Amino acid sequence: MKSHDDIQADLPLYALGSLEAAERPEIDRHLAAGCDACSRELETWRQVVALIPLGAGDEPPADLKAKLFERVGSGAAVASSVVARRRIGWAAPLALAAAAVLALATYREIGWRAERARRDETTAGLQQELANARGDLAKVGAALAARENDVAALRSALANAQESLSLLQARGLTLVSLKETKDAPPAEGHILLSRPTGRALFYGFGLPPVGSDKTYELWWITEKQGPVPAGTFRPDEGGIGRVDAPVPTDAGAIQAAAVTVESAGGVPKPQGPMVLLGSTTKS
Amino acid sequence: MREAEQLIAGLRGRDEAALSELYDRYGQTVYAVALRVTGDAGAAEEISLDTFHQLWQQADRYDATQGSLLNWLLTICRSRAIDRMRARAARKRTTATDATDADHVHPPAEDLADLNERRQLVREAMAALSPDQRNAVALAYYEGLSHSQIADRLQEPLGTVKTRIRQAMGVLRRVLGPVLSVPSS
Repeated sequence: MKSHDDIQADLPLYALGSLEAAERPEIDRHLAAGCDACSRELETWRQVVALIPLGAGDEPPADLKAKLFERVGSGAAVASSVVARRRIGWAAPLALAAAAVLALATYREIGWRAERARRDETTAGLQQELANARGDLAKVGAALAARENDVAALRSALANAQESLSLLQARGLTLVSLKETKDAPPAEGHILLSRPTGRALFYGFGLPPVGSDKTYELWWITEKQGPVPAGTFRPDEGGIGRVDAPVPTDAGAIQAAAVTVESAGGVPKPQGPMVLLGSTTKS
Repeated sequence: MREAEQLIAGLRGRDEAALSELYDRYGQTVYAVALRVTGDAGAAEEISLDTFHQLWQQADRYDATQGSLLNWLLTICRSRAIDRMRARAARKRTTATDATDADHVHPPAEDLADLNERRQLVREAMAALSPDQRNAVALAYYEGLSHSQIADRLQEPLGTVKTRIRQAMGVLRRVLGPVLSVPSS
């Protein structure tokens, strides 16, 4: 004879219906004897088993519902006409009308089913087209963004070129050449300087990159104020640096220009190593 | 969206719209169970038609106090499907019981949103089983096989099969916990 625990352990199998027929009576007797704990446990297992079929995911054929209504419609129509004839013979037309109504309902059901299938197909097609269109749009958007970047870069290059060109056309233009200082890596630079218009453009070449906490800074070495900051720059990948440098008006004569390496952001007076130097008087 | 009781009342009043709504709600599950039992799409189709036709003709016999409408439909469906399989395999003289003990259970409420939610949860629960566990549960539920028949079919020891089904049921109960109602004491 099984213990209470043995019986409780068999309850999921009992609920699933997989126990051997010979094993069931003992459990039936135990339950009939009034074991509340096992009755409650069995009810829970029954709920679990009752849910199992919901896991079967196969879809029926699309026309199965229409077939059901074909069968139901004809059966109902026949039944209606038989009942009508038995009860009141003169009501045959009513039976026919009922049959007609049912036939119409069946027809409408079939038509509705077909219409829904058509709509589903159309919807699926439209959704696919929409997905394709979205994909194309994303590609066009990416290409456009790349073009906009190109345009911005070209505009910037054009502005620089126009500025350089306008400076070349300015009055009193002089060229200041800068060379690397002693112990500095080989590099050079030049400044297009137009004192009458107060404009100047510096270009440096062969300058090694500096860390993110450093910057190159251009200086005017003036007669009255000594070094005056003229702008900071970081060379591009080709080692070329560019500064649109304003010319100081109240510092007296500009005697020279220099480039130093300073802390990022620049400093008011040079503190770091000087890498380029050029005298204006030589030009 | 009508409640199950209203739909049953509709069937009793020969309302085809009620049958249409019930088919939309339960047709997939009925067909899927018939297909799982028979493994034959044509047979599953016929069994589904028979099941809903019986519902249409015998709606009066449905007693809501004896269980949910879906369980009633599935009882009809499984009985028909298993009978058909037995007739096909008559030479084997199968002796398994024809239905689970769960055919008389009251599951939680059956509105469509709940039904879809439970379908999803049951699929997750089934996915949590190992392939061997899933197969053993399916043989018991869909084919109505007993442990010894499953052991014969799988060529495995009886004890192994029993343990596997117990473990599988434990996993299902754990995952399905959120939709199980606590029996009153």
